[in-house]
Amino acid sequence: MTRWEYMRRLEELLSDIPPGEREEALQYYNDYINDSGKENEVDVLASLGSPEQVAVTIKEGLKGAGGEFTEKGFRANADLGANEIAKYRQQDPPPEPEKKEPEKQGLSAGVIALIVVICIFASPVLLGIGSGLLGVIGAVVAVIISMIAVFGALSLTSLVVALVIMVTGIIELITWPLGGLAMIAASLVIGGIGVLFLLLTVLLAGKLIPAIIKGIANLIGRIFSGKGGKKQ
Amino acid sequence: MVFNTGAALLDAIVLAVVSRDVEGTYGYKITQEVRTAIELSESTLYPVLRRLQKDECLEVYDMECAGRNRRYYQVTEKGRRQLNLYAGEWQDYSSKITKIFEGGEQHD
Repeated sequence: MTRWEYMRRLEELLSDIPPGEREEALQYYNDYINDSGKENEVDVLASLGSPEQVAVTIKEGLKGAGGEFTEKGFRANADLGANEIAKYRQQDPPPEPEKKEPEKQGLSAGVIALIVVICIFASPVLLGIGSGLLGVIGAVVAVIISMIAVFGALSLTSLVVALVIMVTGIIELITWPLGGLAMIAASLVIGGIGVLFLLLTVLLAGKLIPAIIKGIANLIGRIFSGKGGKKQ
Repeated sequence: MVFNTGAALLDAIVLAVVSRDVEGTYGYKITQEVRTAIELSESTLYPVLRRLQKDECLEVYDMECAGRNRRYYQVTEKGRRQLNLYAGEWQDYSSKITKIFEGGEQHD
């Protein structure tokens, strides 16, 4: 039997297993025969066993938990201890805390040189994109800062006006009690609005600005750390 | 050979052989190296490798070699931990048996 006949026969015998599994197995045995060297072809085919035997081995391997492989080939699951081994295999091996090698970060000199060259050639485009991006970020920041300024001014004005009306109202109480009371009430309303704007200002300045700064820092950090991310 | 090699020990030997090649190694070479330690029919290793691959202890990649693609096997992080587990268990097991053979200390 030539190797082609052998492989054809094996393919036939494996026609009833999933195509992915069949291709895996055929590639493995094809590689195997290739790697044994041309002159050994006949010997290798003989030592592999007949295509029928190989097919049985492959199919029994696919059955999984029904038994196990040893150097004697497939063995039905009657043996004591086979379940034990299956359990052993299923559990995730424990991680080792000590023997952690230092993570290899960074890029080789060649890759860095390549990136630098690419950056130089791409600089017109990169600069365009970069300045555009900077413009957008700057605009957003400017809008937020001006919002803070406006809210701050509004709150300050409201509070001052409220205070003035309040004082006037108290003085007015003596000569014109009804009018004085109305003015004090109005000053409380305006004062309330002032406090509302004050809270809004503090919220914007205290929460949004740090968030934006963090966001920008993250963005820059991600751009520069780039390929350093390790695959898991 | 007089002694049987159980499935767990066979897994351990295969993982150890594959882990010796950092860049990965291929089926024929793995088989020959395993056969330096235990008797093994040439076709037995495929299902073992396939299962270790499905268990994510091994990963495969194809690389061109002499005008054709050859499949390479490499030990994963999980496989390395599994191998360490096996190696530790083996150390424990074999040293106890050796101690008995050599008529060493007795516990009561």
